[in-house]
Parts: sequence; C-alpha cells; structure tokens
Amino acid sequence: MIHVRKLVKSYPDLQRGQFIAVDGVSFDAMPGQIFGLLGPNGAGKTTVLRILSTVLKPTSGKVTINGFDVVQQDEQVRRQIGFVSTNTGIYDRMSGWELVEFFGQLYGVPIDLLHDRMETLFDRFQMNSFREVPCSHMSTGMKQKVSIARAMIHDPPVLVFDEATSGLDIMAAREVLSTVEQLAQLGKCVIFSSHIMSEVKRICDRLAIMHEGKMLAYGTPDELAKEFNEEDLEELFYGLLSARVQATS
Amino acid sequence: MNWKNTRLIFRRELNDQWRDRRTIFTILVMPLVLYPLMGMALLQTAQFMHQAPPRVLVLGSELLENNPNLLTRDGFHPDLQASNNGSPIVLVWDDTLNEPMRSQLTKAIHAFQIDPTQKPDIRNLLKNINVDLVMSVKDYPGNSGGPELQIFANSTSDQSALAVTQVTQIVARWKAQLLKQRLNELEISRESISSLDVATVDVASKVRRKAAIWAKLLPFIVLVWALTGAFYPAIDVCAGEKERGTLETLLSSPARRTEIVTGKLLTVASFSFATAMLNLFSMTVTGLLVISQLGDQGTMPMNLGLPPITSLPWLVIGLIPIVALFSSLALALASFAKSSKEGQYYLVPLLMSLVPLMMLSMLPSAKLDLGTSLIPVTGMLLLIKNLMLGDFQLAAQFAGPVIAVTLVCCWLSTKWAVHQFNNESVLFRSGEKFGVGVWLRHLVRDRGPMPSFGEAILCGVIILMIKFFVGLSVQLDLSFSGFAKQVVISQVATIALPAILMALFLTRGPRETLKLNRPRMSYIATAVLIAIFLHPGFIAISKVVMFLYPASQGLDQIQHAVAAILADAPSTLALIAVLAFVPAVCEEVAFRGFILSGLQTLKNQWTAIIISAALFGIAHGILQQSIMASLVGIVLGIISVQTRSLFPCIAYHAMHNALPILMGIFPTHSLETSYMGYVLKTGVEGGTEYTLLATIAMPLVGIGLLVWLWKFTGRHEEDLVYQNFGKPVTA
Repeated sequence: MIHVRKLVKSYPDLQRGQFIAVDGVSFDAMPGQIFGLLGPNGAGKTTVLRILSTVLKPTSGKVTINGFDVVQQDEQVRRQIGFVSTNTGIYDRMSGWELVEFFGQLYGVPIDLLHDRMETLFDRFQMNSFREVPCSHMSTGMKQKVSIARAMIHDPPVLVFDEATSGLDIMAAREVLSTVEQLAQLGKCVIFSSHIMSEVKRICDRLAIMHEGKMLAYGTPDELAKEFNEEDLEELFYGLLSARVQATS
Repeated sequence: MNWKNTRLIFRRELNDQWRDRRTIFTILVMPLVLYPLMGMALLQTAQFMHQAPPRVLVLGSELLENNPNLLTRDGFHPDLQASNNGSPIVLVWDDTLNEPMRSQLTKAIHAFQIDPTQKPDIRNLLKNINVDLVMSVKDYPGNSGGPELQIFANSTSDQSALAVTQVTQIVARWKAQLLKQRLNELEISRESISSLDVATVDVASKVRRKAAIWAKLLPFIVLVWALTGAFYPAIDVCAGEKERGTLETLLSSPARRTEIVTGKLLTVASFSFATAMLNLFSMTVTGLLVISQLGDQGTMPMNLGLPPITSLPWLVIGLIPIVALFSSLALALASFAKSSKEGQYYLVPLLMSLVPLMMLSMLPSAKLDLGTSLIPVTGMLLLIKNLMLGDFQLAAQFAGPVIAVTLVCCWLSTKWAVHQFNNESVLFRSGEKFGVGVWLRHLVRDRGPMPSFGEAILCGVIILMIKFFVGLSVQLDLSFSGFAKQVVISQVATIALPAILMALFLTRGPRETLKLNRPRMSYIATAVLIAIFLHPGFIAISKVVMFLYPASQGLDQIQHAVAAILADAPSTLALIAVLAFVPAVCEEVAFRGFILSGLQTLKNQWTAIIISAALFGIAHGILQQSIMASLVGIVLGIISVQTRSLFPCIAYHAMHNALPILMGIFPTHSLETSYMGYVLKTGVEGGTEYTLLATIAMPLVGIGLLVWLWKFTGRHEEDLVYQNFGKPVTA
C-alpha cells in the first residue's frame, strides 16, 4: 500500500546550513495495519508524513501510495489519503458541518453520498450537538473530531495521523486511538506518528523509530524486542536514542 | 485546471471574508460611513471657515497721484476691485502704526534695499504688526515715470500669497487707467499705440471642465482604494491561513496549487473591486450633497462641480484589469508573509512602488501616447482619463497597447503568486531567529559553487544604489582626461568591484562564477560578427525609441556636453578604451558574470537572461538608454549562456560600443568608390550612417548567427577549453 524507499529531504537553514531533515528512510505499510512512526520532537516524522501527503516534495528517494508516485501523480495520491495533523487546522469561521461538506465537495464526492457519509460520521463521532457551531467556538477535542471527519469524508484507503492526540485530554485521546484501531479493522492502511510510547505500544502493528532524520529501528514490536533483546518498548526506545546520542557526541 | 475546485474555493473564501468583522469594516463600513462623516465635518467647518480678508499696509501713500485714485480712505478704489475676487482687502494706513513700529519698518525696508539679505527683519515685522503684505511707495528724485511700488510679502503664508494676487491685479488695473488718462492728456488714442490685443476664450464646456478635474482625481482615489481593498483580504487568505494552520489542510486536498491560487485571487479581486466601487458610490453621493450645500452657501473652494455621470462607467470598466493586477500582486506578496502581522509590513513597499505610477498620470505634462501607454498602471489611468473626458478617438488608438501591457503584468504577477504557492520555503517558512552575525556566517559557510538567485539580485541592487549615489555626488569633468578618469573609476568601483567581491566572498568558485573560462576563438569571432551585423538594427530601434520617448532638454544638454568633451579626445584609441573597452570589461564582469551566473540557478534560462538584461538596462539610468541596453543585454545573455565564457561577451560589448566611434571617423569620401558604400552613407549631420540595405539585411545575418549560437553550440562540457582557468563546474 505505502512503499517508501531511501527517502531524503533537505532544506537550507540559516543556523545549520543545508539541513537534512530525513536521511534515507525506507519502510512499507500495509492495509489493515497500523504503522507507527516513533521518535522525539524534531526526529523528522512530520516531514516524512508531509511528503506522503504531497505537501512537500522529496529531495531524493521514491514514495508510492496505492501505486501512485507522490511526485509524478500527486493529485491521485491526495485522493488516496486522509491527513490529520496538528498542522492541519480547521477554518474558524465555518461550522463543522460546512467544513466537512466543503472538503467532501473538493474530493468530488457526489452530493447525496456526501450527505449520507456526513450523517454517519457526525453520528459516529457524536458531533451532532455542535455541528452548526463555528469552529472557533469549539474545544480542542471537538476540533480534532471535525479534523478526523474531514480526513475520512472521501473514504480514503490510507489515513495518516500525525501527533493526532497532542493537546487532547485523556478521554478525547482515547477516543482518537479507538477510532484509529477501528479504521485498521476496516482494512485501512493507517500511519500513526507519535512521541508517546504508550499509544504506539497499544495500537501499532509495525513501527519505525526515528531520530535526527534517520531510522534507527524498523519492524513489529516482537521483531524489535528480539533484535534488540529488550521486551519493554520504552526501554528499547530510550536505549536506542542514548546509544545514538553517545555515538554522535 | 478543474474549475469546480476553483469555484468551491472562491465561494468558501468569499463566505469566510463576509464573516470577518475586520474585512467588513474595511470594505463596507469604512466607505459608507467615512465619506458622509467627512462631508458632515466639511459642512460644519465651512460655516465658520469664511476666509479672513487680507490686511495690506501702505507706506508712503502720499506720494501717489490722486487721479485716478488707487486708494480711498476705506481701501482700494472700488472700481479697481474685481467683484468676484474673494474678500475685500483691509487697508492699514501707516499713520495708524505707532511711531517706533513705523520707524522700525521703514528702517528694515531701507536696509533691505541696500542689502537684500535683511529679509528676516521685514518678515518678523509683518507678523508683529499683523499685516499680510506691505506696499511701499517710493519716489526717486528725477524719476519722471512717477513713484515706484514695492510689495513685501511672505510666500510661505497662504493669506500673504492671496494678498499678493489681489493687490497685483488691482495695481495692474490702476496702471491701465493711469496710462489711458495720460494718453488722453497727450491726445493720443489708445488704439494707435496698442499692437495686439489678447483675448483668451475657454472653449471647453462647463461639463467637460468639471470632467477634466474629476478625470484626474477620481481614478487615482479609486485605484488607491482598490489596492487597499485587495491587500487586506490577500493577507487573510494567505498569511492568515498559514497562521491558523488551515493552509496545510487545503494543500493536502486534491485541489491543485493553481486552482487554490485562482480561487483566492478571485476572492481578493472581488473585494478589491467592491471596495473601489463602494468608495466611488459613497464619494459621489456625499459629494453631490456636500457640493450642492456648499454651492448654496457660496463657499465652494474652487470651481469643482460634480463628476459628469456619463464618465463614471469608463472608470468602472478600466478598474477591472487594474483590480486583477493589484489582486495578484497583493496575493503574491501576502503569500510570502508567515503571519498577518508580517503581511501588513509588505503593504508599504507595494504602495510605494504603485503610487508613483499612479501619480505619473496626474502630472500636467502626462498625456496618452505610445510611450506612456506602455507604462503599467500609468497607461491605464491615462486611458481611463481620456475615456472620462470623451476623447474616444485617442483612447481607441492606444487602448490596444494599454490593455496588452496590463494583461502581461496580470499574467506575470499571477504566475508569481502561483510560484509562491509552489515554493516550500515560502509556504513553510518557520520563524527562524534572524541575526546579522548568523546570516553573515551562513553566507560564508553555506556558499555554493555559484551565487544564488537572491545574491544575484542583491548584486544588481547594490550596483544600482552605488551608481545612484555616485551619480549624485560627482560633477561632470569637462576635460577629456578628467572625464576618462571618472568613467574608469566609476565603472570599476560601482560595477565591477561589487561583483568581484561578492564572487570572492559568497561563492566557492569565483572564476567559474565570473565565467573566466577560455572559450574557443571561434566564439569570440562569432560574437564580434554578431555585434557588427546587429548594430544597424539597434541603431534603427534606437531611432524608434527616441521618437517614442524624445530626449528631455536636460538630457540634450548633457549629451551635448559629453560630445564636446569627447571631441577633445587625444586619439580614437583613447576614445575606444574609455567608451568601449572599460565598460565592456566592467559591465560584463557584473551583469553576465556574477548576476547572470546567479540567475542561471533558475531552471528557465530565458528568465535568467531577461532578468539580467533588465538589470543591465536599469543600471544605465536614462530611459532611452535603458531600453536599448536591455535589448543588447538579451543578446549578451544568450552569448554568455551558450559559450559559458565572459570573453565573447566582452568582445561583443566592446565592438558594439566601438562601432559608433569608428563610424564617426570613417572617411565619407571613399564611400562612393568602395563596397562600404552599400553599408554606410554620409549622414545628415556629417559622419556616416547605415544605408537602408544594411539596416534590413545585416540584422538578419546577425540574428542568423545568434540562432546558430543558440542551437548548435554551448552548454556542453566538450565545447569548453579550460586552460589555466581552473576546472569546469558541473551543473
């Protein structure tokens, strides 16, 4: 479903010169699976996901999503993806209903089907009580629900969640996590990036650990435990990062 | 492009803006409330702002003859005062002044008559005795023509200036009466001494006179509002979206960047148009009421009636392309800003660049012709002005070029806006902490083998600035040796040196940047041949340019002064060295060396060539020269890109500059007997000029050579022979 090969992204930076944000990352993610991207802040997770969503272009490497190349067939790629990120805000002066409808129309969903899907999504996420409320008056949890509904309105085969639980209270965060799990059960390919270990441990089938643009480890939790001889994912993560920091200092 | 997406984005943005209180205030409330409020304030103030009558002090009135009377005890003689010439003058007699003051004033005037630097004393006294003008009557012993009147006034005071106008007119009438009386005494009829009577008749209708004032004022005001109306929504739909984090949401949707930009552009244009129209409407309605009220009160400040209603549709039609241009410019600039606050800062440079173009159309000498019709914004404003005045024939004549220029500008600025939306560094610009030290370190540490696009533009701007200030501070030396020194120093210091220093400090390959590669000798020969063959074409084009944009009197004087200096040159070789060789080396190092190398980092080589040529043209400072230099710059750019060496460019440039000198010394007597007679003929003002055959045929050969250079040479490693000039830089 998603194939990433030797992905590199660099850009000029005033302080650091030519900065390599992503350095030779490769991974695969399959339908029905939740693929976790784990890494501290600044590891390059968001850059990888922005390339997947075609918002950024890779410096080198190849990425295909559902058979479409992110550089050559960017428009088709965007139709395959639903992207939820802390950076994908919602329009303050629109209501949740208007916003989801607008994006549904942009994705070319026929109007009857669109309204059916909207009703289903608004029911599922219990958004009917605030569907006409302007987004500027919503809580963070409500906004995140609108964002997820917006990302799912065209029923994409791939869903990308970048730090989707960031800033949410425990109830809202759990709700997002259970949604992600349900989506995988529906056969969607889900990419879930986070720096919170417990979330990744709970829901991810495969994961990649990133640090300073590089991929330090990649596999199922069991494979990683075997490879690094460490059952506890948090310890494994900490050990990998500490070893990396020592090696570079 | 998917128009459905564009329509969706346009509709969403439009609704979004309607829900923004700030936009509604600027677009709707401001024009609808501001003008009525201003009108109300004007009417209120007009009630008590009646003009105070000017106060005039007369010194030495006893010296004036009594018949016909200039003065009565109540003021100037009523027969001399025009009936509609504002408030009557209040005369202050010198005997009403206290003695010390009178004596002080008399002394001050006397002192001024001896030493004219004593003005301040009189100015202060005018203020102290509260008069706007002093009329001093003085009689000279033995002066048979009568006493002399001297008027002292302060031109910085409006009231004083008004007094001068009124008193001058009164005195002129009095002098005419005096003359008539004296002629009568001598029994000479006035007709027998008058040579020519001049009567001025204004043939313009009252409606057209009003239209003339409004045709200048209204388009300017409406365009300023169109710009304001474009900028604030542009900031909101670009920088505002970035700030709120919604831009990434939109970018990850299937809508293409072009569709997003078009949707936003239509929104900005709609608001710009609406702002301009509402301002026009509100201004007209308020003006209608206020002017009729002021007319009733008799306090109209000038002959300003209402704009003729038939002139307004032309303004609306002309507004449409201008709105499109302003909107795309505003959108491109606003997309660069990372926050609404930052976006506000970009409004000032945009205003500063567009307002002079608007002001140009308001100059008394500005008229619609082919030259002005090619100037963006100015041409359109002049076209609107002519349409409003009913000069349809003239407007139709130049509507084509005006609309073409405006559409090209719209297309370019829209392309710029789309480019901004495709530029990751613009869209995802983070709030990096900027410091001069950090930036300088970055420039040196991260310098590439070639300069960047920004560094190339910076080099051009630095050269223009240095040239500007040096040009202001240096006076033209009238001796040839002094002139030669000025040329060499200015070429080296203002043009070559900045480029060389920037190449040394900002690039890792200064030699490659300045294209100091030794090319094949055939390239140098080809460049020289191209210069020779294209020259008649450039001469013909320069004649067209001079016809379109005739040289001003000042420019003519400078050209004559330079010609006189050059006539003193010790030899032709010295002339060629100063006017051809030195500029060729220095200007090529800068414009085809550093600047073009930097611009070539753009994917499109033509864009690089055109920008470098434009900078080369602007650096020449004088419009006529700038146009020609830009065209020559394009040829030089092609040679530089193809040969990847500066030497063919220097050869072309030197030959191009040397040819007029060589033509000037060519022996005209030999033209009839040699083959050169097909190329040159004796010029009207002496010297030689190209024949018609040469003007047509030679440029064709030159273009052929240029096409050959473009198609079949260059841009291949094997075409370059590097000898002692370092290794080639791989692209």
